[in-house]
Amino acid sequence: MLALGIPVALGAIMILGAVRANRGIGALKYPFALVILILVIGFGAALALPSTDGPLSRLWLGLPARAAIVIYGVGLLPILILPVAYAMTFEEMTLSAEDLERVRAIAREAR
Amino acid sequence: MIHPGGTSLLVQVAMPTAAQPVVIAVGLLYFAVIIGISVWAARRTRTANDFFVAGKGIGLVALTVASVSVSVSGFAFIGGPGLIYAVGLGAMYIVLPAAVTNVMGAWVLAKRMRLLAEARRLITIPDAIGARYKSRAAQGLSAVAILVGIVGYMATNALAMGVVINAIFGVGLSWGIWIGMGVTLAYSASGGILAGIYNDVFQGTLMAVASVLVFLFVLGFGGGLGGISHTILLHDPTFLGPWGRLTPLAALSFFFVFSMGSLGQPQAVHKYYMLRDPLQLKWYPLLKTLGLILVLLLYFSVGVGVKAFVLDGRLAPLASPDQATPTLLLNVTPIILAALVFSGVAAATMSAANSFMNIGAAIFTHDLPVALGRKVGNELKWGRIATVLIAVAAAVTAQRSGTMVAFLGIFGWGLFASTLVPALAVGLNWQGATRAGAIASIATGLIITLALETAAYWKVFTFPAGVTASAVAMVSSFLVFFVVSWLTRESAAKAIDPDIQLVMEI
Repeated sequence: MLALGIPVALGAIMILGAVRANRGIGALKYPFALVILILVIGFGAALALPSTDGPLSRLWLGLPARAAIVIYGVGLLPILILPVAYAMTFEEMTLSAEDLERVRAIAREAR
Repeated sequence: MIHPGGTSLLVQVAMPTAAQPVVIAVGLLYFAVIIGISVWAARRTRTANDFFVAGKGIGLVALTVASVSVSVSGFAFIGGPGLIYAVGLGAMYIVLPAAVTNVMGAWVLAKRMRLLAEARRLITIPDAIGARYKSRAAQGLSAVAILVGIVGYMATNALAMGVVINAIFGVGLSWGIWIGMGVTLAYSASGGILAGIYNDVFQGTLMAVASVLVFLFVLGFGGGLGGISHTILLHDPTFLGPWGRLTPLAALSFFFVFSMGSLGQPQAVHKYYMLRDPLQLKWYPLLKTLGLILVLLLYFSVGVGVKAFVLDGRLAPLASPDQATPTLLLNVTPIILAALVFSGVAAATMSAANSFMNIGAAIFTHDLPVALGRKVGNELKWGRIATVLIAVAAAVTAQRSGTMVAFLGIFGWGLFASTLVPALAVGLNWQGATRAGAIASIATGLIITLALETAAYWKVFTFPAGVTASAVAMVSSFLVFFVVSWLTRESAAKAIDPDIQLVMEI
């Protein structure tokens, strides 16, 4: 349950933060879905794969398979997706100069 | 992200003395740089706005490095590697969330907090809660919750400083505490957060350099990560299993608490106010995540490296897991590298302490008076006085029993998470959240965290394996937040001011 629930909970709160008024999340649905999937698969594989690690185990980038899935898959792969998606969609989905000016205008009016 | 229990683990370390000429010289050089930066910053701190949010004038790179610095306590250098040595890869679930937490914080909080600073000139986290819910009670209660958490953090960081400074200079634990807190207090009280930020930049850079050098050294000494893994797999394959010696429930519980809870850590969230240009947030999560990965290389490499070196007989078995980093530094690495890491640990504890001193001072001089309907006349002067009082109180507390201080540190991280994540992180993004929901949620987080941690400390109650008080408190706080907000939903929309609504909709 946690292996599924944690990725979904993290995805849900990121979506909540990324949504702007009634405009949805646009193209961000793809990186969000991909990262949720990566986390579910990573945790699921760690739970499901048999424990056969030993001195003759094949290593993946220096680690046995299940550890490599956790360290590189869960711990590093999302870095290549989410922060890049954030930067690439920043003006459109997060904050533009016009948005900033709207806030500054309402602040000036209030003062 | 990397604090909970961390400082508590750190304060239990009886670090061996490393007081050799090279270590002392690097330590003195480190303190000289800190003093130089502080004098420069003190001359530029003229108003309360300068003191508490650096006049909203910090550039992207400086803010990123400073944020990395305050996100990582000495735990990443001492307690964390020790925890990996003890339980294997399961300890990585404390730091693995770093891959998503920084960008999650950017989406959920960074933009809205920074825009609140534009709209209302807010300077504290309780300010944001007060503005969102139009409630002095919510602002005051969140301030009290943060203050309770700070008490624990400050005491554990003061003790950690004493341990590290004693290891570097051999002055004794008590003097180590006073020297560490004295230097941190000097730059915190004189230059406020401006001195803190630029000292954090220096300290974060030092931590990253030390971490990368140790990582490269351990890989070279161990024959690469493959060589280290082969050694461990030969003797102890469970260590490199996906959960290490932890149960899957315990490891995943770590992941949940450290990922979701990162949204409530005031030392990191408070930084969002300070960015000079809000549009620079674009690159903030990528830069911060990469910076954190660099600083955490030591955490991973020392933990698995020392395990392999003990297993293949190149190091003697450790007296306790917390000895992993000191044993490696004093027996294997060049002394100059040991000197850098010891100064890096001092840097980690001092940057965290400075940040909490500043937040605590703002609570005394700004948030609590606002909650009580009063205004402090000269916030800059009283901010400096409050900083001195907090530092002295922390140093005095740290002189007491390490076990009690460790206990104070345990609930700090979980308390921030359970009291602030629903009301602040969700509340700034969901217009259905209500004032009553926020107040009930903060109170729930505060009461449950204190009750469960106290019961666990006195062994009145034991959690099932893998369940933590922080996780239970945070889930309870979320449930109360949603249920009470739903029950009082008719008051939701009309309780938001137009400027706050705009910030929430952008």
